[in-house]
Amino acid sequence: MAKEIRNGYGAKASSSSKYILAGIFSAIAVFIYYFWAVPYRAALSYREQLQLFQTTDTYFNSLAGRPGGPATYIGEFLTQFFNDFRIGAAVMCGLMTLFLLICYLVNRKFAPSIPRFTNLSLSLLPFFSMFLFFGNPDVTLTFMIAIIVSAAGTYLFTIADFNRRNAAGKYQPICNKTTRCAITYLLMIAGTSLLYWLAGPASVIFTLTTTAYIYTDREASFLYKAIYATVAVGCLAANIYAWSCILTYPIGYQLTGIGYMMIPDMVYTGQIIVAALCVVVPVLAAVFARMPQKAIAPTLAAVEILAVIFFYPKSYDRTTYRLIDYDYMVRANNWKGILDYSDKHDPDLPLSVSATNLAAGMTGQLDCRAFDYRQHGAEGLIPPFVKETLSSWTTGEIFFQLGMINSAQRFYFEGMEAIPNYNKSGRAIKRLAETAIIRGEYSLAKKYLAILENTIFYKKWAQRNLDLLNNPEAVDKHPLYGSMRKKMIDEDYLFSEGELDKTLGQLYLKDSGNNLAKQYLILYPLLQRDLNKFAQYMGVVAETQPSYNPLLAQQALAFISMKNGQPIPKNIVPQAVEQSLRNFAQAWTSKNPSLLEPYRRTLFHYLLSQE
Amino acid sequence: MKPYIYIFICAILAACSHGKPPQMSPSTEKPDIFPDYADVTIPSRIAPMNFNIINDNAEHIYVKVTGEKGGELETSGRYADFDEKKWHDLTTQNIGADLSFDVSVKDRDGKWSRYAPFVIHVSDIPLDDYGVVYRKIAPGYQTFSKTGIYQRDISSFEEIPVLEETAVEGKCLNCHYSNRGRNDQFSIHVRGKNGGTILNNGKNLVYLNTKAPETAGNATYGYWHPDGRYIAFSVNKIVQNFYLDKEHNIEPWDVVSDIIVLDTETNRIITSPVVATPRCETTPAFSPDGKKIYFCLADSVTMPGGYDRLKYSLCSIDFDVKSETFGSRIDTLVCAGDLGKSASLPRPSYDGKYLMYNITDYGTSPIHHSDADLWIMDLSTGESRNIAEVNSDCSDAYHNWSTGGGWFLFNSKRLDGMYGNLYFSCIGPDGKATKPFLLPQKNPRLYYDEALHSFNAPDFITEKIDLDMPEVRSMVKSGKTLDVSVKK
Repeated sequence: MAKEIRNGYGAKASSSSKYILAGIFSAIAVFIYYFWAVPYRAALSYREQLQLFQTTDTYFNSLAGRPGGPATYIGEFLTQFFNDFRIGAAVMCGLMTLFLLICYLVNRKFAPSIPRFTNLSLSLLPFFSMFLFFGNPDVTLTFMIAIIVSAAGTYLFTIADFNRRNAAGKYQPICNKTTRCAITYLLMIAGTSLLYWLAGPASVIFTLTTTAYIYTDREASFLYKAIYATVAVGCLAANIYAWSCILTYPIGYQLTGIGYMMIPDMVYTGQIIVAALCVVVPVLAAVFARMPQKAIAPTLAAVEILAVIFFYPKSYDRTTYRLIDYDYMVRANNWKGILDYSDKHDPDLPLSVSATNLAAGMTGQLDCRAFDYRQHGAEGLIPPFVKETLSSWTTGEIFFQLGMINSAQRFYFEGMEAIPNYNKSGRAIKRLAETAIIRGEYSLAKKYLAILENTIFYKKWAQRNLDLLNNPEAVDKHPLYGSMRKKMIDEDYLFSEGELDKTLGQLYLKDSGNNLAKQYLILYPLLQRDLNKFAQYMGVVAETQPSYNPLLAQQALAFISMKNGQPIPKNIVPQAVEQSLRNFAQAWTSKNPSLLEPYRRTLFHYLLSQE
Repeated sequence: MKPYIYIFICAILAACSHGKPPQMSPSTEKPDIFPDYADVTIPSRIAPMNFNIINDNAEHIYVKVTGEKGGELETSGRYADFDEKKWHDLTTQNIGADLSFDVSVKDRDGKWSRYAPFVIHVSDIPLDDYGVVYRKIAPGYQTFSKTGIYQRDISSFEEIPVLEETAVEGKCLNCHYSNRGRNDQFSIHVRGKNGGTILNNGKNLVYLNTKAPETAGNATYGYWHPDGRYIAFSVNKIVQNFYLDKEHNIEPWDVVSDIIVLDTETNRIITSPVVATPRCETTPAFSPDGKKIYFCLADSVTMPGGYDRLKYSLCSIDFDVKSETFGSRIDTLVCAGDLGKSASLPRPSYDGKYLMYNITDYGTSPIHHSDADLWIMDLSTGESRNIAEVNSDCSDAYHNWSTGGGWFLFNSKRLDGMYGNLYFSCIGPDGKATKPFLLPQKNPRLYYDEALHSFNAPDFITEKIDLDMPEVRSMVKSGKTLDVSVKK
């Protein structure tokens, strides 16, 4: 009661503050759920596709033999639920709230008399830092699990404190000094070893925080504290050394945490800040508990909110997340979604341009609307290979939809192999199984499907496809596999990135119903500003589809006619297109930027400009 | 203890114990097992030939192995998992004789079926090497995730990393070449930034830059001279193209390739205009007496358009160690023009009896060709033949001989067409190869189903390799390589 009066809270206030606190916790949980389920759901899919969690002993054993391996196992187990954003958001919500709660509980152990709202404000420091750090898509759930496990280990250590402090902060030893000392050391040594195995270097939180906890024991001598600190740090160092003798990783990997980040040999400031705050905040709690409380909680909360507002755009980089959004929609084949997204956000990077072109092609709009969006030449249609996962998969998807199954297989395989932390990918394996089925490589398909059978989210799909393989005739009739087989080129030759237009032509000749190949074929020379080739390719298309006369063809024909000083054929080019070209020509010759502006996203402007 | 506890314990025991099958006559049908070990020939030191039943309805199997010369071994469970010591006792007792495998299977309905026994022959040709070394790598295109070089004790399931990519901070590791399987004379190429060749010349470990200003590229495919001082390498500038059709994936080819010999004592390169021509010379291998280098040679064609006209002949050239010079004449052992095919990867047996090589329709990369077959030349007669006994419809390549002769291993993609696995066979007294068997694993079905890597560039090793990892890390991290010079 004395404490409550000192802090300006009465019994009633204390009771109501409990509910307010619970309300704040709930509000935070709801916000986190909304955050990942709505605006950042693509980021969940992004993380999920960069791993292939399998429910097998082999998978567990492959991770269990390294420090932090169990955290990776748990992290990847949970990440697989990101396959469904609703469950994934719930997982993120649960983990983040758990982290906040553990920080809150550890603080309370350090400072039993600390008021609830001061404690919450302090707990929000590591929470917000984790939230911001998670904006980096390279951060894995392994890191969060490792931090939570280490912080939870610290809390358990403080629970087992044999020098218990009561609510007023008074010490009430529950066993004699020697026993207490022995048990403390035992817990510390066992805890360090166990946590280092479970969580990896994040267990430094346990080492430092328990040391700080021992230092807050006013009855312990300085010598006792110094010995404890030395032994604790020495125990951690011994664990690191012992593991380094058996691990085939450089010591640097061990110190930064194997599996914490997608890129294994990088040190991120964010991970140091999160870990440091987990240590510093409980100490601050002990300090703040002794200070006048009135202004602490609101000031802290205000500073934290301002910091989040300031750092949020840096942490959740807009450009990166737009690419992730595009990748998410490409993965889901959400073509309309891509076009809507591109209407709102001008696609300006190779991946977004190629995804937009693919979406326009899949919805039959590419031959009309291609220049509504920014173009990057022929490479914006089919980007060249780069050793990077997302762009490889996007290009792989373009090849897949075109019917270039061999190239699709290559790009999905390359994308999977480019995952920096050596993981495999459920998304890629699924597509590889499909390409193998389409190519008739059933043994290979069965291998991939057998692997997918060991997962939760791909299992049913894998079983359906395994059943399908038992009936090869059904594969030909399958809506996807059968249609893709019809599109595939039979002729045996080597793929050349410089001659993609020829391949597009062959795809079209193989299957004149391949609408995507047709649109790509006529757009390809236009993007190269090669009107002769365009005329030639239109001729190829006209042989099988004489009535095919999309807007781009009309515009190109009008342009060619005008350029050559010939009359524009009115039976092919509508009056509106002709007029539009004449208006553009006037604007172009005027060299007045404001007059040209309405034509900046037209074929006419693209053909004349060198942008 | 109360009765219900007894009942509970009995129920648990009954559930766990499937017991032996009842007495019944075997059917005439042999069991469908994975790997297909029926009628294979094995060395007595090989790890237990565990296998799985290919039948989704099979719940439990019981196997009784009877040796022709005596001895028995039993196992039961989800798959045939033999006790290692008992297995070796049995195989040692039955060298030169047959082991008969009597398999009974219990299905999910509790019904037992007994199959006709199959036989594994224990060869009297010894395989005394410690084990095998291979690179585990995804059979990809241009990007590779985690790669590593591993060694496997042939008599057990123990696999130990020699060098993993994670140990050298993300560098791409290339093949391991040793001198007749020795653990103190080998080379490993490390590619990428700070790349070089880790070379153990029997005395010390060095890190070499094998590209001299006068040579066309880095050392690539290597083969040690039997005296342990020289290594024949091809220097290759490799380009990859990719197929569009359904049958093939990838076609690597050499823009430039020449043959060199590296003197590991002086770090000097010995070249000759005879094997450094505008034509393509590649994949050298010293003859067992060290006086010859076998290699493959092709006329250059316009690439990539002429990819299916790129055909390599199997050739040899003399090499004199004393004068460190190549001969002046190239002998053609297998002419590509005559055969209409392409030869690659010559590997002589260490006893000098045979030369094994690959034949494909065209090109120089048999692991990427489903038509790649193993061929063997009797060096006493010069006659070659397709080793049809071991070849499959998929790529069969990357072969080499055991150091004692007789046994050979190779990489085959026969399981699924994509992932290369390790097979063993031996040449019997009749000159025929025995039916190849897949590298045994503890639970083979599980292992090979889950594996997403190929066993690349396998070879036998006589002893366990123990790399000084801190030194290797330090070498690779610093990127400080010793330069090689060309002998004038």
